[in-house]
Amino acid sequence: MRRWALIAMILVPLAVLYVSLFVGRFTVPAADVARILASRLWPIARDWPASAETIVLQIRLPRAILAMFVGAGLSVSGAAFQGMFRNPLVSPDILGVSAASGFGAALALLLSRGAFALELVAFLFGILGVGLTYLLARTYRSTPVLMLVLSGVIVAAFFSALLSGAKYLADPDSKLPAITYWLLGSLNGSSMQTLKLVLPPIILGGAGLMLVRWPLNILSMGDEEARSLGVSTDRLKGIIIVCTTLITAAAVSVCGIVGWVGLVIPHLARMWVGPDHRALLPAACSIGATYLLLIDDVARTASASEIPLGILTAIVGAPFFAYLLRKTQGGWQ
Amino acid sequence: MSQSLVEVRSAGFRYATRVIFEALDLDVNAGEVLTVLGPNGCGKSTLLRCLAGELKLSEGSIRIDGEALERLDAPARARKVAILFQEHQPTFPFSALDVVTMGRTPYLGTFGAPSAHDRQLAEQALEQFGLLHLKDRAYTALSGGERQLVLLCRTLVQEPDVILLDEPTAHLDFKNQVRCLELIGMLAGRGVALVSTSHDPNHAFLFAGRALLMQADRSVLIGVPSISSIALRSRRPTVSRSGFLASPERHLAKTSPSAVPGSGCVRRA
Repeated sequence: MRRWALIAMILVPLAVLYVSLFVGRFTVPAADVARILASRLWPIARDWPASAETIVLQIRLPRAILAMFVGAGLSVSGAAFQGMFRNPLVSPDILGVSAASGFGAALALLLSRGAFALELVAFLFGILGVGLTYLLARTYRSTPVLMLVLSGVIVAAFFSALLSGAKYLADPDSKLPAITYWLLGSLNGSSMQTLKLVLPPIILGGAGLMLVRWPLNILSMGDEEARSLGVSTDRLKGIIIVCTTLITAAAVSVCGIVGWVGLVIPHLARMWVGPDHRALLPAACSIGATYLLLIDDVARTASASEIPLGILTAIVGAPFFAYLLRKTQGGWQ
Repeated sequence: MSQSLVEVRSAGFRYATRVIFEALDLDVNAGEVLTVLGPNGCGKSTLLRCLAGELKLSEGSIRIDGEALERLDAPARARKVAILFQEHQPTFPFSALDVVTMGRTPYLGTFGAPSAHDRQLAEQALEQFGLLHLKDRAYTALSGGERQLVLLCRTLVQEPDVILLDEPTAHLDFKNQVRCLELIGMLAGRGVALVSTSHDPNHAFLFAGRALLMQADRSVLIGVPSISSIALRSRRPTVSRSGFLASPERHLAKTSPSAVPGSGCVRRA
């Protein structure tokens, strides 16, 4: 049973990745996709149009990989935070990372500094926002969970106000639509270049979270109890916050605010493999990667123009969460 | 002679200006169950949290197995002292076996995870406690009594020198109270020093150990309780100190449990 779950965790996202490469407005036959991919490893006679190769390798592949890493990253962050805060309604942006990143991006758009600067500024602001939250929550050399949540609310409110200010000042004909569209979330701007920028922090943060899967179980029993079981709770919380912040700030900086993934996917994963974070975090990664990949496939194929990701994740996520809430009556099982 | 696993010297604790206890000297030996008695709000739980290193003393020192408590880091402390808190709010439906396995955490290192051996220890502990049938059940779905026994089982795999129990039998039905107290006796039999709070004076008799009485006026009495003293106390709350307990250490020297009137039925744990 456990073995089959593990195999499914690896194979399903890869299968969906393959499908994502030939689905789209420009039709590339499935067999051609396989041969284009294989041609990167073995010399194969190229009898497919050059445009097909460009689309598969330069556009769809980076975008699909980005979707997988962002989906996996947000989901694993959400799962880790739900365990740490012992609360099912927590999502990765609870500490204000999205609001701060959003303001950073709006600032960069306002100053028209190009895509690279936008990603960098959004990333740095995300880290700045969480840093402020952490400092604000620190009391008597410890960081109580309640203080973290409240500080996160304050910091998020502050940066949301700044973001509104930036929107208010923005030129309503050009800048304002750009900011609004960016905030709705999209994987449109992905290229191999963005991957090189974004994957390292996501992988680093993800690896860090994978290392503390067992202590996370203990932390989810409550701070005091975790300490009595020999866990240095403040250090562990610090590790978790740094890792999730690296992941979410990187994700938000490149594809805007993609809500609901980090909130809903951990629940789905918990229903599948149970509450033990040793299995839960990998499961959340796998489901999150698959989910965002599918959502993005819909986003880019459903209509003539692209549908922003943030809209789709919420439209699919909210009813599902409502169903979950009714079914479980707010309980954990 | 049994060795002293807990040594408390002239310890005091206060929240801001409110003194909870002061000038407290206390030794707890291996195999002993010390019962901490007192009314609600007198500071029983605070004392336990100090002994666990969760709260820092305002003055004085605590040594566990010869080592200063505040010098130990979290894992080292957890290898010496286990505590069962009074309020435990279950969140995630971990299996009972997983919960017991959590007791192995202080032996694992920051990034460690329990091995097959750790799981085996947890299973053995469940078996010894007669709880093996619960191992795959979600511990959130267990009854309060069963959950308490599972958590008690967790302290066993933690292999500590000292176990602190905050009202271990509160909210338990009679059957589970008895089982819980039996298990406490069993732990004492293994050479662990136990400190257990209770507001039921009867518990002080079960283990034939000493009792520590914390009173509302912040005075603390230690000694072997006698039936008459407790009865007196319950009828006349204003009775003098020496009337309550076969009082402090000097008195203790001449009163072995069997010599105390009414406590002849007590058997050594």
